[in-house]
Amino acid sequence: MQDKYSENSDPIEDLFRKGFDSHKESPPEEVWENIAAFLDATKKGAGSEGTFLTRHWGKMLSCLGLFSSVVLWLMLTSKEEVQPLPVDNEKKRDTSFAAPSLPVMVKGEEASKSKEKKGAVTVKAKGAKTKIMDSVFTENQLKKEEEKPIIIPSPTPESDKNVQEQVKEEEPSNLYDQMKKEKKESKQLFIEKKK
Amino acid sequence: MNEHVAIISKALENDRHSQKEIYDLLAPKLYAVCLRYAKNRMEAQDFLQDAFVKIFSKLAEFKQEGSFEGWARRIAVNVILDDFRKRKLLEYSLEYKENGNQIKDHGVNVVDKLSHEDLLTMISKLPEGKRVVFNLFVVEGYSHREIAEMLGVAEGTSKSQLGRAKEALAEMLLLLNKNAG
Repeated sequence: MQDKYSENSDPIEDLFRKGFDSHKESPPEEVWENIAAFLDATKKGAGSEGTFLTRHWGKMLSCLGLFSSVVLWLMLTSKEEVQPLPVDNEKKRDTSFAAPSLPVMVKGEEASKSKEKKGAVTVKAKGAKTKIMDSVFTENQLKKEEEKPIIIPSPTPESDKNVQEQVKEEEPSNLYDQMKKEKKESKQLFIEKKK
Repeated sequence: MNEHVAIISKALENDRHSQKEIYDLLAPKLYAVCLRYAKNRMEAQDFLQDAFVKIFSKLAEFKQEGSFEGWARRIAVNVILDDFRKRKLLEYSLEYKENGNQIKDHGVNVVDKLSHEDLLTMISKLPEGKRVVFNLFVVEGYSHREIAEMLGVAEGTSKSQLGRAKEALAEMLLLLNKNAG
């Protein structure tokens, strides 16, 4: 700070400096009342309750927990809704639930395809079923499908070959055993007849 | 050691009686300070209230080395300046050509007849920027460098604001002289 009265050259500065130097004035009582009220409020706030966060942290935490549990429950229920509907409602069901990358086969299509490939009905039909199961069909429907007897059409030489080849590919060891057994049985029968 | 140590230490323990003692000791002087910076008495009372709230909240920071009254006075002035800054009232016109002779020539003949109230009325008519610089330099005794630091302006701005304030006050005094004569 500058020395107050070192440069008193300016008459206006001098006038105001001297005029205010000894100036004192008592403020109205309201001012102290307001200050005292404020001090009371801060004393209470600091002593017992603290800030809003510290006062309500328990409630806030419980609210947060409740909210997170509700969100979790909603997420779980939404996942359940995506699962396939029961069989009764299957006719009304929309195929939009099917995964877009997988092929969606309708019953009619399956039938036409099976007709086209007569020889490979049993094996191909199973494969087709699994694909459909993955995409659209429900478990109940699959059970029904499995319960249905698989009708093998009258064998033709071509179809026999195809069937034999595919059976060989899929279950070679079982067929071989069966053939062995059959041969053994036929040999035994032949021996018994001779006897 | 400071003569107010006992009162201050009790006031720090939220003793209301000691706080009132401090208020009674400082309030008349600080109210005079607030009146010089304020536009009217209501504003001055608001400044005083804010100043005391700050003083009591920062009482623990008083190191009891210098004058307690000086420390409280600085807090009051800073509270007032903060308020002006918040309300963006401190605007400074840059154009000013120092013309000391004109100020000196204007009649200061009415000086002896002017009361505190008259001086306060004259000062309150100044724009906030000029009023603040005039008070800080002339009454509080801060240098232009200190004022520039406090207000965040150039030293030249402080000088120009003081010059303009004095010019305006001189014009007011001239008018008073004319009316008196």
